[in-house]
Formats: sequence, C-alpha cells, structure tokens
Amino acid sequence: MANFDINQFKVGELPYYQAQSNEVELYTAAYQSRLPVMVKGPTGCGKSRFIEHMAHQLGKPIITVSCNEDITASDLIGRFLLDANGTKWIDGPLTLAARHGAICYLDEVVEARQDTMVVIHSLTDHRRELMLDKKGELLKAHPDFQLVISYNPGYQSLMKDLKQSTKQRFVAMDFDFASEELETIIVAQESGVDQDIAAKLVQFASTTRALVGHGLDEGASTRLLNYAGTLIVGGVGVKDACQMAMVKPITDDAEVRETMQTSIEAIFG
Amino acid sequence: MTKSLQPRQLHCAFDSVHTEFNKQIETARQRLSPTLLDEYYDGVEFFAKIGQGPSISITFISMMYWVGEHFGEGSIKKITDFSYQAIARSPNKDFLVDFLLSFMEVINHTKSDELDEYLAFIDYHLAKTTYSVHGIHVTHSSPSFKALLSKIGMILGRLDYKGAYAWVDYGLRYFKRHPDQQEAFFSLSTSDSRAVFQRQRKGLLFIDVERKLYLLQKSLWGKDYVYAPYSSDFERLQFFRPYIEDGTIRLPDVYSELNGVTPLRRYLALISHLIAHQQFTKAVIADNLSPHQRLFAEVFEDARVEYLSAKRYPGLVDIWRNLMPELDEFDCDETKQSGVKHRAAMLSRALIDDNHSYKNTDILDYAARFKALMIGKENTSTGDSLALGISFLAKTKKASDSLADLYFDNTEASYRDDNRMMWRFIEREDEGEKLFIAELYNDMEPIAVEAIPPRYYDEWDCFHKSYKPDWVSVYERLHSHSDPSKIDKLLERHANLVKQLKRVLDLLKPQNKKRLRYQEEGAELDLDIALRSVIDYKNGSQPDTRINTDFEHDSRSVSVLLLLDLSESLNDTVPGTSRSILELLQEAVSLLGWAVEQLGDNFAIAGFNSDTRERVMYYHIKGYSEHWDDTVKSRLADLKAEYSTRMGAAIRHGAHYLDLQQSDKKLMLILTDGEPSDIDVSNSKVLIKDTHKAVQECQQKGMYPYCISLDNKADGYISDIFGSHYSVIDRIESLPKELPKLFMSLTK
Repeated sequence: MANFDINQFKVGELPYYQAQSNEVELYTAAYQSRLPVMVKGPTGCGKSRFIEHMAHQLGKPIITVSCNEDITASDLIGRFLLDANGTKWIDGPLTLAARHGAICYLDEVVEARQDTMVVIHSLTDHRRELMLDKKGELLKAHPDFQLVISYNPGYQSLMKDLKQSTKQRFVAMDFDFASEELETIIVAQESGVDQDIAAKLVQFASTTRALVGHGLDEGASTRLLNYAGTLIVGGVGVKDACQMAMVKPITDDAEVRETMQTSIEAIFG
Repeated sequence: MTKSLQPRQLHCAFDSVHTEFNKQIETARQRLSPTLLDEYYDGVEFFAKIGQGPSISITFISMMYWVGEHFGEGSIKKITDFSYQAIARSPNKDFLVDFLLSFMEVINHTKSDELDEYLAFIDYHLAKTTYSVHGIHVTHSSPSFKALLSKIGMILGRLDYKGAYAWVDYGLRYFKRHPDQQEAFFSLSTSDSRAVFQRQRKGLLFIDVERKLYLLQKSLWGKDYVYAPYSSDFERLQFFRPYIEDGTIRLPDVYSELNGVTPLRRYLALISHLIAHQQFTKAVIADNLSPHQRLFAEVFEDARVEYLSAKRYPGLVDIWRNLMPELDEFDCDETKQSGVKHRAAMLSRALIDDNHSYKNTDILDYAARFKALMIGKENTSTGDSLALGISFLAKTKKASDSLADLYFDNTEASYRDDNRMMWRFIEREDEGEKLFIAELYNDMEPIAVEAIPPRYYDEWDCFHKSYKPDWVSVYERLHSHSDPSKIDKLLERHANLVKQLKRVLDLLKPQNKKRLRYQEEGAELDLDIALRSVIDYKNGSQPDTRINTDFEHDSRSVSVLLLLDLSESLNDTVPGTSRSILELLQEAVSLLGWAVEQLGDNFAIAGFNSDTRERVMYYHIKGYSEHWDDTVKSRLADLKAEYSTRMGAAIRHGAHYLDLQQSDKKLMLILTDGEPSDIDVSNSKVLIKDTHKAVQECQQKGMYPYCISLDNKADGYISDIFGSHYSVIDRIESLPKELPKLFMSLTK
C-alpha cells in the first residue's frame, strides 16, 4: 500500500456547476466540521455534479461508489485475497477514503441493502473510526475524510428506504431541478445550444415534470435536457431530439408519449 | 331534347297536380337535364295513376328536381321504382309522402353517389319492421318507419352506414315485437337509443381521449380540471357552447375532423383556450354594456388570451387558426342583414392570422392596434379588450346591426367558449343558466342519495350475444355505520375459533421459497460462480467472493376484494336457529377481516344490492388502504339486507377497483345466498349469463373471482357462472368457521 496515491482521485478540471442558492456555502460549512452529508433530489438534477464540483473547490480527492442491491459490507470495507505468499488485504473504497483522507461519495445509497449500510455508522458519528474486523484493525479516519451519500426520494418505497438510525447521522441538503431561468443557462452552457432553444427545452421538461404521478415516475431530468441539447448541436432536428432524449427514455406508455408529442408541438410550434 | 321542340305535356287526371306542376316546372327545367326531366315527368304521371290520390305526385313535384340535381341521371327513376316496389305496394304506403319529403334532409347529408346505399338502408329497415300477425304476407305497417324518417338527417349526418345499420339492428333486436318501444327507439327519444347511437358516432368520442386530455392539461398547465362532456346532438343542447366553471370543463362528447385538424387537436384547442381565459381573464362589470359591445369585447379578449398563451406555446396558434372560420368579406349585405356576427368573425380571424385576406380598413386598423397593444404593453388586462371592443363597435356601427335578419353562417369558432367568466352582472344573477340546468334534470326521478353520479356498465345479452351499452347505473356509497363494539362482541363469541385461526395464520405466513444467488454466506455453494471466481483469481483479477446461494421466503402479494350480496333474502332466519343469515354473515366477515389484517394482505370489503338496472348500490365497507379498525367495524355492524342481486354490475364495479391494485394475485371473493336476479328481469338466465360474462372479464384482466354460495340449491346454476371456482356452504351455521379457512386455502 505504500505506493498508493490518493491524488489520482482528485478531480481534474473544475466541473461546471451553476449554484441554485447558497448550497456551496452550506456544503463548505459542513465540510469544515467534517459532518456527513446526505444530498437528496430527483434523478439527473445535478447531485453528483455538485459533489464533484465541491471536491474540486476544496481540493480533496473523491471516491465514488455507485450502490446496488448486491453490494456487501466487504465491497465497501475491503477483503483478504489469496496471493503467492498466502493472503493479502485489499482496502475497499470506504476504507481507502477513511485512511487517506478523501471524500467518500455513496451514490444512490438506498439501492444498497440496509444491513450493508450499517458499516458506515461508526464512521459517521463522533467516533470517526472503522473496525476492520477480519483484519483486526481499528482504523481512525483521516482528518480530511468525509462521507457523502445521495438519495433519490422519488422511488422511495416501503422496501427501499434508509433506516432512521442511518438517516439521523447526516445533515441533509435538498436538490431539485433548477428554476426555468437557471436551467436554461445550464443547458445552454453545458450542451452549447442557443438560449432560445434551451428555454424551450426547459419548458418542455417542466411539462413532463408536471406529469409525475400521472403515468410518469419522474420527469425529464436536466441531464436528459443536456442530451437533447447536445443532439441539437450535433444537427438533429429539435423535435426528433426531444423525442429521442426526453420522451422515449422515460416512458413506454403510448398515451403519455402522444401527450408529450403534442406538448412538443405546442411548444416548438 | 332541344329547346326548339315542343315541351312535353303532363298527362294526369288530377287538377291539383297540374296546378302544382305548372308552378314548379320552370325551376325543374332549369335544374334538370333532359333525361332527368323525362324521369321527372314519368314519376309525376306514374304516381298519379297508382290509385292513391294526388298528394304523392304533388310532393314528388316539389321535391324531385332537387333530388335529381343532387344525385344525377337515373336517380329520379330509381326513387320512383323504389317508392313503388318497396313502399306503395306494402302496408307502409301511407308513409310514402314522408319518405319523399325526407329527401330534403337526405340530400344534405349524402354524397351524390350514395343513393343506392341510402335506399338499401331504408329497404333493410322496412323489411325488418313491417310484420304480419298471421301467415306469410306482411300485413302491418312498420311502426317505426315514420320515426326513422323524422330523424334521418341526424342519422346520416352523425353515423356512417355501418354505424347506422348497427343502431338499427340494436333497435330491431330489442323492440321488434313491441311497436311503441320500437317507435320510441327509432325517434331517438329513449336514453338507450341515444347511448347506442353515440357509440356508433363518426369522429372521436371524448371518452377515447379523456386520459390524453387530462395528461395534456396536467403537463402543459399543471391544471386538474374535471371534464363533463355534453351531447350536442339532442334537441335542447343544440346551441350549447363549452364553458368552464367551478373547476369543471363542459365540452362536447364527440368531435370529428375539421379543416384538417384532428379531433384530439380540436379538444386541445378548446381546453387551451379555456385555460388561457382562466389564466388571463379577470371579470369586468357588464351591466352597462350592450350585447353588441360585449360581443366585440369578447372578440378582443379571446384574441388577447390566445396571444398571451401562445407566447408560451406557439404551436397552439396553428390549431386555433385552422379552426377559425374564414368568411367571404362581401358575402354579407349590410344594408339588408345585420352584419354584427360577420364582422366579429372577420375580426377574430384578422386578430389571429396575420395573412388574412380581408381588406376592410376598420378591421385592418384594429388588428394593427391590437398588435401594437400586445407588443407595447407589459400587462394587458380584460379592460383593454373591453376598450378596444367598444371603440371598434362605435367605429363600425351600422343602422342595420339591430335587424332581425342576422348573418350567422359559419361565424362561430367551434373551440371558443361562451366567455361567461369575463362578465360580472351586479344587477341580476344569470338565472337563465340555472333554469336551463333545472329543466334538464326535472324529468328525472329524484333519488335520495345523489351525491356522486352513477357509473354506467354494459350488460351482456345472452340471446343476442352482444353488450347493451351503459345499461346499468351503479351508485357508489360509503356504508352507513353504527356501534363498532357489536363486532368485537361477535369476535369474542368465537374466541376459540380465533385461537385456532391464529395457529393456521402463523403457518400460513411463510410462503414459497425463493432462491437468492450471489451470497457471500449461504446454505449451499453455487458451483458455477465458485468456478468463475477461481478462474478470475488465477487470471489475477479480483474474484467474486459471493459464491453461495441462499433461500428467502417469498413475500405475499395478494389483493382481495370481498363482495357481499346484501339482498333482501339475507333477512331469512337460518333453519333450526333463531338467527338471520345476515348475522352469521357479519360474524363470518368479522372473523375474516380480522384474520386478513393479521396476514397483512391488501383487503377490501364491499356490499351490493340492486333495485332494477337504474339503481345498483355498491357500498364500501372497507377500503384497500383502510385498516381493520373501529370505522370499518362500525360499517360492518350496520349491514342491512334489502332489494335484489344484480351481480354482474357489482362484479364489474368491484373489478374496476381491484384491477387498480398492484399485486401479483388478485382475488375477488363473492359471498352470496342465491342466484343473480332483479325485479326488472323475468328470465333468470339473462342475469346468470351476464354474471358469467362479468366473471370472464375479470379473469381476462388477471383477477381470480371465486364464489362462496350459501344457497344449497346453487348446484343448478353456479357452475354456469363461476366454472369450478366456487364452494357451496350447506350448513350456514358453519359460515363463520368456513369463510376464513376457505380464504386461507385459496391464498396459500
């Protein structure tokens, strides 16, 4: 492990992020005290981008783990592997971050099973330590270590929710799609389409967001807007781009699709 | 025939025919070709000779040159022959004049090559409705022919031939042997007739686009208006226009394509216009304004709200523009006719269409003023529209404006509403509308519980193998309630049974086992994955350590609807005891309700009874989301048994809700004490077959209907309804014990 370089996890260029309100200050304050942070918000509204942006601003490396239901505690902490000399301990991403002082970002944390999530408990309270029981090591977290989790309340179901004991270890920040004006700026900046088209794309996105709960689970995200913008810049027709990037990915319901097609026509004329 | 030849003389013995003929022949000569003119002469002469007086010839004279002109050569002869063969020589000869007169409407609604189809249609109706009492030869006239002719314009205008035949067939099927009802059906005066008629309509029915429209208003404007369609076809609603009030949008129940705008787009035009008003119109006081001032203010206001709405949704303008009538500027002679509507329609078009063709300077001037206002002023208001409207009228007012002869043709844009939200009257309430609504409903029998309108369900007709549309009205209510402790007492009485059930329930809870792969720790080694891991490791990549499999108990995903038959017969006492079936039912349902709550299944209880097809009551006793608590118990404690058992409609209604539940298995338990019946149906087979159909519908939707019958004579019919999915409980006393057991064995 001596030759391990945590700096490879540093974010290279400053990722573009358009602040919506005072979230940058809030996050900075939380980081100063190394408080664990939970970011909530719908898919594709900029949660991960924000965390990357902040890691860069603070000059800290960031280790991202995308959670899924098969992830186990050892996937986070690390495990012994066999090698020519017997066995060898390999740190998992969480251990790496705690050992070397990085921000550990657990994306879509509800996807992981609840019993997996309890391993983070000792890291996220006053103890700031991690018990590597197989290795027999009590790891004290590096002073720079911080844990961030993201969490999409949209598909919160009875089956998929965080335990109270987990939730209550974090300070939380709510994210939502930016206001129409801001989102227009974001789409124009990120994909390179002109302001007018960006504004109409955003308008269309808000019509899809109004349908949430009426045939759609989630509306078109800022990410999809950027895709649509990118397609338009690449020479695809506006309506085709909307269909391809913002209608077809989010629904298969024929009636909802037709509704959205009509909305596209109403908006783009 | 050339003009130089002598005009043909009419040979006819009736003076009255000659008089009429001389009056009309000039017009006929102008309109008909020589061949048709000959046919015309032949027809008049022929009908004067068939021994039925002069009236047929006289009608023929005044009608047929229009008809001949419309349908072309050969048509008059065809009609003459048809009239003689199919009508004059039949018991229906008295209706021949009516038949000829009906062409007035027919030529408005048929294309010039459709005469044969029309005649075939009439022939079909006559052949089916003219009947004989004894013997082979038809002797009685058709009871409904005249009624059919009186509505022929509407039938041809609204239905295509396929639909018209379907409608006629329906009438024949049910009313062939009942002259009075047959007549009522074909004159479209019964609601059944109208319901069938509506189903056959050309164009797009509102019900087919309702969801799309709802999604559109939700997505484009975030609004939740309720839609209440009205039918503009039947008499009193002819001049009805859409409007929005109290969160409800009233709109026509059917639209066909217009000017290349699809029906869905027309509906969109309508709701977008209404919502634009809702967003941008603020009512102004109307007491001091004349109707004409209001008319023009409305024109500007409509244009203003559309302009504002189109800022956000420019695509809507195309639809609106295509629906806006375009008039001939000089068609209205304002010295003889009132041109107010004509002017208003031209102005409307000019305000929405920059490329309009009108040259009138006032219109051009005001279109420009309007444009300048909309571009120049940040926050325009309804007041601005009013000012423009009044000033436009002042500028263009003519003495002829108040003439009774109003130019009206094609001056209305179908998607625009009556602008009621724009005006506020201080002096008088708008009573006309209320009277109108009252008038609509005063011929209905008042029903005590009127809060929620009924849902209509089709009923299966086993004799004709078809559905009777909207046949049954189902009213949905929360069941009344009383003291919930009654149910607790019932449960206490069965304390032993409750204990038994508890043991069964504990056994029931674990369900099927499900294999879980990719486990780090588990019951067995998964060889496939273990091998893969070894290979990974030998290759130097990180091996997967989750090489075991394990088992998990599958979770229960069942939704259950318990549908209780609450008909009068439940009040019977159980033989050998002093208790009624109803009491036993309450006990059984209480036990089941309690048991299911323990299992945590998604469970609803509803009851039904019926008092003819007009009134099937569906009572909610426990909803899917409700828990087994005092509210539910209090409803259960108040169960009453009355009326009859129209089971099919209740099953359809229950299925509607059960279908919305999200679970793997959907069980509908129907608890009844007898066969389906109702006082307006004499043949019990009809309702049995209908119930069977309803059960099949449920099965097709993936539900599992199961019947528990308390009727020990049920074997005679129950398998016709439920196939093999039923149990008969012979000893009713054992129901409280049997019902929960049955439920558990069904869901195991």
